[in-house]
Amino acid sequence: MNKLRNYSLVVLVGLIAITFNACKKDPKPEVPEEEIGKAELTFLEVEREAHGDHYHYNPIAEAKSTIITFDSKGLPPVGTHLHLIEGKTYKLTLRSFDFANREMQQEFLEKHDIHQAFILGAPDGILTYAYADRDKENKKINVGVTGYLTVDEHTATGFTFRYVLRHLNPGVKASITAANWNDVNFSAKFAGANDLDLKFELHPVHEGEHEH
Amino acid sequence: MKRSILLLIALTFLLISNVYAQEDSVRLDSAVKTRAKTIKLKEVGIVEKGKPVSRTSISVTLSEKQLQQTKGSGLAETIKEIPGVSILKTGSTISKPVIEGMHGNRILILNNEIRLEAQQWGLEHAPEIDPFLAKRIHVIKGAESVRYGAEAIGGVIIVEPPALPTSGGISGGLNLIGASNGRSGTSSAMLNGGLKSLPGFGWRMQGTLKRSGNVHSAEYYLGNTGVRELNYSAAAGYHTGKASYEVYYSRFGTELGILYSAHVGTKEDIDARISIGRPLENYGFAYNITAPRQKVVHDLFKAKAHYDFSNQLSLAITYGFQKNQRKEYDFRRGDREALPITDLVLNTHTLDLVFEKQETSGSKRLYGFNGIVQVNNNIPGTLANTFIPNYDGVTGGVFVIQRWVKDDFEFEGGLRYDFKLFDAVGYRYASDGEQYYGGQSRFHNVTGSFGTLWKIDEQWQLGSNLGLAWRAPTANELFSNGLHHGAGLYEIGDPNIKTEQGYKWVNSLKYYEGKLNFTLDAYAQYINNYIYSEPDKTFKQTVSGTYPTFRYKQTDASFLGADFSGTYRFSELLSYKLNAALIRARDLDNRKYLPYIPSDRVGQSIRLDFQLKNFGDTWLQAGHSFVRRQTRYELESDYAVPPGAYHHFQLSGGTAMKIGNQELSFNLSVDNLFNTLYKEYMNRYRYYTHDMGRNITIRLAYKF
Repeated sequence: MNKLRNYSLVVLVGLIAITFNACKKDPKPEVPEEEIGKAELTFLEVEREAHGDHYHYNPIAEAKSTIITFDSKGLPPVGTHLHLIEGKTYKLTLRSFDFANREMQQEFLEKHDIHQAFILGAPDGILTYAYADRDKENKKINVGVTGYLTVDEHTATGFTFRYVLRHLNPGVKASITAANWNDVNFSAKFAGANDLDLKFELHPVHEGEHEH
Repeated sequence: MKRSILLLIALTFLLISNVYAQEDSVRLDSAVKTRAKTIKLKEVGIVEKGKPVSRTSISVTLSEKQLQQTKGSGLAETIKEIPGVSILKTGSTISKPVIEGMHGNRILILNNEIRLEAQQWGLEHAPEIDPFLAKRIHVIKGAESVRYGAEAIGGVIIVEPPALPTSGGISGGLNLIGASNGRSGTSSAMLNGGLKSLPGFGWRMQGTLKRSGNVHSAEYYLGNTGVRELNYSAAAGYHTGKASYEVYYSRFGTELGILYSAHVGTKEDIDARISIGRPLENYGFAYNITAPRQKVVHDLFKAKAHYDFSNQLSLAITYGFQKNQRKEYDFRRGDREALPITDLVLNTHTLDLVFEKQETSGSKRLYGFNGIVQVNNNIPGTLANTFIPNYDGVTGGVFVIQRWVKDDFEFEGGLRYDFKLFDAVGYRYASDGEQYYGGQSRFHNVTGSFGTLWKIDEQWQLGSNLGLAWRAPTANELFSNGLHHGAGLYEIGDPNIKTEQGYKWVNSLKYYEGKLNFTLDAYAQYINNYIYSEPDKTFKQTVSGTYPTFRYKQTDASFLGADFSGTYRFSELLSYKLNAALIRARDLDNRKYLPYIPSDRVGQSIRLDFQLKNFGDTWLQAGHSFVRRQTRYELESDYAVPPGAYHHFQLSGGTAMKIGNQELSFNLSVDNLFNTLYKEYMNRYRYYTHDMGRNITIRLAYKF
């Protein structure tokens, strides 16, 4: 029995030794990499051609693109104000960058079953948007990395144009159609989180209207 | 590496000591063969100790029979029938027990005598305990920090496994449980044995396997609410006349899905979801679990030695090692959903020494020491900011408890001193640069308790317990400054937060008579420096979304309440039971209500007990419970007003059959009988969904 007690003591000392040897490690600097950093929206004028129940969009050779940049908080440079012209159509493309400045809009297309953009902020009847994304098999998909924005009417003053790229919960995308592109109730109807929420001031104007 | 080697050496020593213990006993056994019977009786006396709860504690015990009727549920669901106990849920898969309004780090859970040390601070972190392990579960409602250590502010839950056998033969049991809601299946088996050639030696093996899929509310499926669980344990013990030794190992492993609909990114999302109050998506049934999900593994190793120096003096040494691994997965970009967004490993060593001096009058004195060493590390590779820092915690406590027993009175008084050293280092990457944070904190505390039991006469008994308990602030309360992914909140800690001290006075009046039995517990609790988090009404815009900001603060709080449980037996056949609980909590500094306090509730049932031909005890029970709407709340500290009151109905019945030494029992229960669509205030996902609909459970138990 003495022997047993001696062994118990050894065990006890051993356990105390382990106990006091354990210690925390200094944290390894972990750079959050999944987060989305900067983004760009490019507006390039195209020609819209009616083709029965749908449109064809043809490039215009001399068209110049306008690029709006956004910081990681989705904000453009101070004073950003874009004029788009009534009756014209623009190819709207997204470029998005991750924390390390790597382009990542392709990922939204690859995971098109959980991503869709909404174009918000315009008063009714001012803008029309058509999704123009394609998957790997060149099949039409509605994501909003590429789309066509037509200015139907001008407005007296500018408004805050909002491009929201939604990261949808599983199963939600099935209930969204192309007609939901400007659904103001997207938060309530289409559960998920916003990967991007880009805002800037847009002013649709008459052709030839002066800059201000 | 060094730690692993040392652990291996220690384990080897333990095994060697056990082998020697066995050899020792063989010699002892052969030498005193003629006295074997007497020795055996004495051994039984040591093993079959009474309740591990003092008689002066205000406590409720769930017996083996009672536990049988809730088998297949988690720990919190198992004990929620006790008046004064409720649950804090996060969806349908995560439940935390609440004792008289307290949960998380304010209650202590003892799993086979070892205090459960996991990441209890998270409201969406359920206790890592397999209730199938328990023979009995005790819930202490007093603030008994002196005996059990810090954090027992609101109470203690003691999970007591069956005693190990001390003689030869094999016994065991098998439980099979199936439930309709979630189409869940659970099986659990236990095997106990001993050796005829080695009296005093016993072993036990136990395992539980559980799987359940998407839960259904009264009207729709809740997407991603499946659970998978695999738990197992093994124990061995050896008892000699004066000494006993025990080693125990258990693993609790779970993977659980978190409701899809609760994933919200912006204030707009939150408002939109709340205004609808239910998911718009239709999910079917599936066992599949995807992100957001949690994967938790909890290992526990225990070694205990107990030695009687004489009939009066004894010493118990208990060492525990726990490794808690928690991985939380969230919706993430690209393929990163396979990477945990939170990956924590918490190692805890506990060492308890209790020296007990028994006096002939029944009085006794305990001297004790509790030591805890904790190391928490974030595992690199999450590609996300860590929410809590890495830390070391060292706690040491000494206590003395004196117990006096008179004919009609029992008293128990205790005093304790604790010291805690907490050393944290964290790293955070923010848009304005990188930052190291943390620091060293020291906490000292003196606590005390006094309990009394007055046996007024044959029928009446009055108990009273006054306890001062404390807890040190947790890592998240001190240092968090970031997105709490599981909760969808941006939480900001305060490194200057002080320790929390709770003074709880619980009184229990018991009446026992043949027909009428009841217990009325009334309590008053004052908490100095009560730590809570409150929205500061701003929203934090991070690179991944916009989240409401919650800040940790301190106030003084009061809790007043009463729990009632009574039974009236009309005849041998028919009985009626009534349970009720109410609680009133206040933030005293700001003169406000505190959030997440259970609303008033009452439960009643009528029961028939009879003998069926060819069967043993048979029963049928019909129950009803009513939960009031919580009207004591502050609108500005919540997203939505509390949900309405609801009624629940329940039907259950069971029978048992004896075949020789074997017993086969069967029971069936139907919860939420009328498939009521309802929301419970204590469910943190009540904003987005309703609670579980009707659930039919069948339980089969076989004992041999």
